[in-house]
Amino acid sequence: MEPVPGEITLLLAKWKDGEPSAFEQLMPLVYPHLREVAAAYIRRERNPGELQATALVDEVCLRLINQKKASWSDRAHFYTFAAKLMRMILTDHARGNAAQKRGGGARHVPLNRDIPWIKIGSESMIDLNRALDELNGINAYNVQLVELRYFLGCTAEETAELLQVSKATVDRDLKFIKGWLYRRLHPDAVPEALEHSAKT
Amino acid sequence: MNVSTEFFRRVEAIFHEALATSELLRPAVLEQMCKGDRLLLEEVRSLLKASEQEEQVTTSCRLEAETHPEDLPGPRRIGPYELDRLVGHGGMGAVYLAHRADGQFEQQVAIKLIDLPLATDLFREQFRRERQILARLSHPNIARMLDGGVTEDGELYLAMEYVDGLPIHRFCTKHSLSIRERIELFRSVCNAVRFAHQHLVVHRDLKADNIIVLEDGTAKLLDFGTAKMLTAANVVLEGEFTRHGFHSFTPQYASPEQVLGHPISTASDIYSLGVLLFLLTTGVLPYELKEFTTDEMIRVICEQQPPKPSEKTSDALDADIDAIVLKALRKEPEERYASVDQLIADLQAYLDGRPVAARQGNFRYHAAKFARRNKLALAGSALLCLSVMAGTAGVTWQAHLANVQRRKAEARAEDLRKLSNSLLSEIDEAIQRLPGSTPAQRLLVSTVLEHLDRAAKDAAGDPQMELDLANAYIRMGNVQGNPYDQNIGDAQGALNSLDKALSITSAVGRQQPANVAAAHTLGWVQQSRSEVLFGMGRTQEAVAMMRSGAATFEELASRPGAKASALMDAAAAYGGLGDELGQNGTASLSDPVGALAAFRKSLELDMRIVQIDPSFSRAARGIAVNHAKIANIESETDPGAALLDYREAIQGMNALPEEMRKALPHQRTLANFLSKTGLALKEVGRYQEALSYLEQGKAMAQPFLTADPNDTRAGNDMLAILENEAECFEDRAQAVFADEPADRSASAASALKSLSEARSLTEHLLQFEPDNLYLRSTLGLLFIRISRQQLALHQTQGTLELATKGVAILKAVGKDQNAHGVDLDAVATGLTMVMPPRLRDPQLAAECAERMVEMSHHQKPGFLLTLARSYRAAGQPEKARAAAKEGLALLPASTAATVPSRIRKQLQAELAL
Repeated sequence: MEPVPGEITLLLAKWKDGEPSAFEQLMPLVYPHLREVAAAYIRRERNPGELQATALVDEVCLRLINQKKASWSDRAHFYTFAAKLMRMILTDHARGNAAQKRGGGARHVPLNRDIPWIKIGSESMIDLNRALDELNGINAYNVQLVELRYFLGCTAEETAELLQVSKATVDRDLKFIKGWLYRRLHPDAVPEALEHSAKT
Repeated sequence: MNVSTEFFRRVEAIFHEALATSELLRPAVLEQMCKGDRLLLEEVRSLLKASEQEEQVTTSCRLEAETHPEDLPGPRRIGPYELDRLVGHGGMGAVYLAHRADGQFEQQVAIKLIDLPLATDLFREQFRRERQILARLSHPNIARMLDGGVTEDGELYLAMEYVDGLPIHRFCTKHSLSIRERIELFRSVCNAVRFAHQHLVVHRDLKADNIIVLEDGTAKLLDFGTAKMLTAANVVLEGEFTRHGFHSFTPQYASPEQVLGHPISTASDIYSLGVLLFLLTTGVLPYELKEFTTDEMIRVICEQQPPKPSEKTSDALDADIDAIVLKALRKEPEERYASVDQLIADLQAYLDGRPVAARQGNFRYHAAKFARRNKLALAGSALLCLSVMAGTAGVTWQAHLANVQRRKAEARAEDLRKLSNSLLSEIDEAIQRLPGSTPAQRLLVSTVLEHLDRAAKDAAGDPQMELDLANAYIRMGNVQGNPYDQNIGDAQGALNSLDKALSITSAVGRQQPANVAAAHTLGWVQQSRSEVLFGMGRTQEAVAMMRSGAATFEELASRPGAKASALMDAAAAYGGLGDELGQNGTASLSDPVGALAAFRKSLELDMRIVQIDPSFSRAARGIAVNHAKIANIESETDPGAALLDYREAIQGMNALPEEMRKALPHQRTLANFLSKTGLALKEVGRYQEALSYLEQGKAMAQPFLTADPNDTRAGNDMLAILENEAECFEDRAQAVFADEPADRSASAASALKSLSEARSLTEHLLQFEPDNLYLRSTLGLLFIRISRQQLALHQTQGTLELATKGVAILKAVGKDQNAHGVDLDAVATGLTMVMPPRLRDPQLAAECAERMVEMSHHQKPGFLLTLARSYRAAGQPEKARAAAKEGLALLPASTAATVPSRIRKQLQAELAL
């Protein structure tokens, strides 16, 4: 399905304005493109000199928005959307692995070298997705941060620019979220405050 | 904000605060901030602990990854192979070094597999395809595929020859190879790519890292991971892949069409080879990409002109290398080498010290570029659309002009050359490709000539530049007024340009008799000059000049190492000679015997070429054309034989490659053959078929005239068709020659219609060439023919005036010493047949007819028929019968089987009177 020029931009704006149906409409337009990016990402082709995952997304973005240069807000909308979609793709992929019992002995590759304990295609991805769903109900901003930084592979600087905050803030917030996520995924290692978990 | 959100925010705030505090003070600060909320305190503590653990885990993971980056999770077997270590990530997956584990024999292999489970069907399909492709490609410079299959986990793998060596650029540096050695090495890579192309495979990711050179100096091309099969079956899949396959190329080596997502062909590989050659000769890549964004890639790869390799290295680099690299790096795929073969040929030429084709190509290229830009200035013309479609956005014309001015000031020989060509092909391209472009071109011709005249002063003394200049003058001359090219009808101007070219070329040729390019240019100018002279009616001079041209080309073709194209040039010149000696319907020398000999020589040369190279389509076309020309001469005496040759000709034309069949000259020629067939059919009395062929010819010729009413060539073609059509109707109106029953007055009306069309067309054409005797005599005769049909239809109004005007025109032509046979034939015919008879001038008619029969050396039965009629009208029946008898003697012996031709019937009728 090929979008008509401007359609994506319009849908992205609607989605940002909180129109949930826009997401459904965007999905089929962006998904096939992003899926290939995801594949490249997963195949770890991130050697210097080769196309970066973010550059690929940039490519997709420009192609879909049908412009040589997208405006900042169009870009930001697209990236946050793409990051969310990427999370869905990678989670689906891990679920697929689990269902087919594929890659049992295979070495998994970290989602990001900043969180090497989350491995692409492994159950940790499914757990991460669940934890992020949970977090979304409490603090959606933090979820966006994780999606951009780890699922889309943006650098801290890029993430900061897209979310209109400083890099220091991104680093600081990620430190907290990583701790939170680590505890959520490793309950045996660090128990939560009991009453709090009952509360949430 | 719900409770848990609020709680979460407080936890987060305290967490950050705590981390910002030294460990020593942290417990106290925590207590203080939580203000006795135990739950809050516990939660923050828990998270701080988690964060600490997370940090430890992350650090240890990283350390592990850094110390054992190539570790495998235990020994792994893939088919009969055991993986030893990871050697890298290729286009489609990881590559491992492996050995055969089944103990059959010792062999190190490279195993390539998708080491990650997200293998979409698309990837699997591509992987499978790579296996198929590689299995077909067995070449010493391509890494051999040994095996392939599916692992237990459902992954796909390839086992390939393990190539242990250095990437080609490192190899060159390490062994300090000379430029010559580098080019030889590069050529072996080209051989591999050519081999792949021959097997319909485009590599699409040629780069230094994909070419490994073994210690013994053998280059091996790796990684057909992104290769593309040029077969129809893959089109759908390819479309999908290309659209989504952003990762399928390496930006620094990617061609503009790859960056823009346009269709990829062998030309894209040629571009990448250009990048590679740039790297090998200079040590750097032609473009620097600051970032891998679309914007940057479009700006740099699609818009920036690449530097010359010689500007990027301190080593002395030959200008030939610059030319070769830059030709491969052209932005437009069609401007690059058309095949790897041609690139190899140029490399060989460079190594042999012969002139490289790229330097001439350079010339054309700059011209084409300039042309496109300049065309943008011609707002409102059809050219504008073309240039916009050609898409050279982003480069401003003004900036280019400024550049040109600056360069002119620097007066560097090469820049001047570039400029000359720039100016040239502007016209060339537009005229050659587009019907009806003359008004726009006229505007530019004077500019170009001015420029060339200025450049001539700078060129003096530099043979290469002088030849370039001569070539430029020739192309100009042909555009100005070569009747065989699309031209703007300025024959005298054409002759001036060609005279300049001739004098320059002759001088260079005298200095350097062995110079192939000089000899070729000489042949070209002789041929062109002859063609223009012929178009001007200066037939004697034209024939002499064409004989020189044919001799020049034939001598070139006989030199050792001459190519098929040299034979082709000779064939074309002989064809031209035949035209000038005896082609019908033009102001030829009326030497059918000489003409037949020339055409047969041309036919023989063409057939020799096709024998050497069956794909040489120009020669195949030459065969068809020569058949037609032989037929044209035969139709004079033996239309039955002519029909057979026309059939050969038309079949030959229709068997040409589609690309040629679409070209304008082809359409013109075919239209001409069709109408000539019509003429021959008319001669044997098959009027119905004749009219149908003429109709087809008309349908093909009309678009040219519609596109540009000033296209004199198209006009002349159409005129010939209309005249023949009219003659069919005229014959049938008389019912003397028609075997088929015909309604005489209907035929007269049809004849009148065709004649009137022919008349307006002739009057139109005369605006361009008021002194053209052929057109004038044609018009005079048309007036007379029209008045006759009008009388037959009892339309008397203006008839006498028209006939009188016709007679006046014909008398003037008849007294002109420059008139040719065909012109005089029209005069004599008109002056003997005009109605009313008192307008006739049998005396002048007979004089004219005598002259043309002399001029044609008594070889044309048609002329002898006119002579016989003139004598009869002049009251000299004896002489009339003698002329008719002479004419009949020229016809082939008739048998019972042959249908008596029109001319035979007419001559016999004269003899009987």
